[in-house]
Amino acid sequence: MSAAPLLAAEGLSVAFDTPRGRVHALEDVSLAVARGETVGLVGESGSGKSTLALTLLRALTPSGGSIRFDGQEIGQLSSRALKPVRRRLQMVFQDPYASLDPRMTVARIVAEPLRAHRFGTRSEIAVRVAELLAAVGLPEEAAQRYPAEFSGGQRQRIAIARAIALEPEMVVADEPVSALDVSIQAQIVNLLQDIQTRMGIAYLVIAHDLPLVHQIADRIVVLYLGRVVEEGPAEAVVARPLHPYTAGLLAATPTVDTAGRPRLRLGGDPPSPIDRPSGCAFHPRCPIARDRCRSERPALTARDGGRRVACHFPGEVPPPLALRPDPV
Amino acid sequence: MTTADRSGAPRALLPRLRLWPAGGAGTAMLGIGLVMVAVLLVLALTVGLNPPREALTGNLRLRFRPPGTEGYLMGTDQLGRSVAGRVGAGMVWSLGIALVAATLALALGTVLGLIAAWVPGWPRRVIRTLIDTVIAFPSLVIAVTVIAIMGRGFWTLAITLGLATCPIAARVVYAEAMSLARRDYVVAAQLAGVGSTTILATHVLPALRPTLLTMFAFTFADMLVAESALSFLGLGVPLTAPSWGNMLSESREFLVEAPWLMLAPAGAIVFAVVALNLIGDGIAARARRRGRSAM
Repeated sequence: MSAAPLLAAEGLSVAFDTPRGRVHALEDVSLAVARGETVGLVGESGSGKSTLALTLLRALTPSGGSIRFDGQEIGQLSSRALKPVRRRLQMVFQDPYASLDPRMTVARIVAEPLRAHRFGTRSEIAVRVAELLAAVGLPEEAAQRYPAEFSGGQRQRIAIARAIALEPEMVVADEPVSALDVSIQAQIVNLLQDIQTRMGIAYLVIAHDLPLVHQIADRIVVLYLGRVVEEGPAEAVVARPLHPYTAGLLAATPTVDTAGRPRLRLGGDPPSPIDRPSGCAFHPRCPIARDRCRSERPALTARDGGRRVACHFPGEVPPPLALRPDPV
Repeated sequence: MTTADRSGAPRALLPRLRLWPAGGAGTAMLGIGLVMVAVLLVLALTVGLNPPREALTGNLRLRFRPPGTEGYLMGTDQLGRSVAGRVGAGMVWSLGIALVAATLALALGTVLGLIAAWVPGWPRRVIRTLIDTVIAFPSLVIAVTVIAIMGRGFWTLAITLGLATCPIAARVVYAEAMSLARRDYVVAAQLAGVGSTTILATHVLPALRPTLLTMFAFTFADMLVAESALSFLGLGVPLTAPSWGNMLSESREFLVEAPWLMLAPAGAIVFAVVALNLIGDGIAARARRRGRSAM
């Protein structure tokens, strides 16, 4: 990690009060993204990925911990005080059908952040919108049409154009391709990388798909039940996962060369964050869990090569064969 | 629905009555409703605002003439006044009060609903409590009480009905705005740094438009009936005013001898209510169809 990270969360907690009790969606999450870097955030549904994204962008207010953007504490800022930060920190949503207002033309959608930050006159904004549409590979005449006239991939391009309109320093992308056809996914990934090369944007890419994250991310952060369980350089984490959960996520991905091997998978569902298991939250599903895991929560500790892991027995599970095939 | 309906109630014994064909019905309903309202509007602006002399001053030698009597399309009443003329003149009262009341109910309801949806904390709690409290009382009871204190009159009646009805509109707007607030495109606008007022104006109100239009048509019809009911009870417009409710109220005594005294204003109310319901259903059906194909 380079000297001063662009975005740094420390000890971040988010809790919601529900009729069934207090839900700790995120607990003591620390995470840093350097300028121009791509960090991949992985985990199953319910692990708190999207909550983390919305909290870092301050669509939610954390109940504890700090978020620093370019050195400035933004964790508790009011929406008025956040406005200058919003200009530099943008988001791409998962579902391009839900993230674009069906009643607005593409030009209005892409111009929305420009107007909000008083980018310039009407004609300056129109010129900028045309530039942005070209930058994401959409024809100029797309501007006067409505989102309903576009395919999922084209809609995601529109959403990306909106996100980069103000030339942000960082974009958080929440599952940017998972709602798209496989054939389209690669195009959008290429577009994101292309934009990063041209504009030097830092990305926090959220996904449940480890291979995709491996392809685009410099570093990977693995989240389980609202806590970071493993973190490290993408290559190292994928080549040799230290946490059994990471190993399980890797094993869950079908690849060409594993054909013929027994399919290995994580058994069961993630437990409810309302009723968190004792000790290590992963122990009920862990193939190597022992007594210590049931009673004592492993701390996130630093390892060689800039890696961190929260496991009492790190690296004990070589992927993917050592996972028991079908845990009961 | 299958036979394995666990509620136990035999639901589908009778086939559901369908007056309109499923596809394209919205446009047909909307069209017919709009034509009917246009007819009402033309009559209100011609006869209503400029009623013939025979509608207001009676001729006692011409009492209880049946419909079709020369010069009196719908006959005359107990004082020899033109029933057709009075139905026309009554438009200004009946439709006018309903229009003002429905507009007030929707405008105030929208403002309250949006505030409750957008400002968490005490504003939301206060508005929600207020809505629930007012809705707990039948609006007619509220109106009767207020009018008993404030006295009759066009504006008293219109404003009272509007205030008594606005919580219903507020609740509908609140519920829809709450669900809109969670849409990704609204969150995206917030994250882009767009202010709340702009988000309400550019994303939320346009999305609410079909709901508001539909609700306006139905509320208008409700207000028309409420005005007639209050006037029928003697709590509506001044007794001498030719509102449709007043006419109905007066016709009671002559129901057997002169049924047209009742049929004329009743027909006018039914005509207007049907027209407004057609418009409301038409807009709702079109919005539903567009919603399905666009998303």
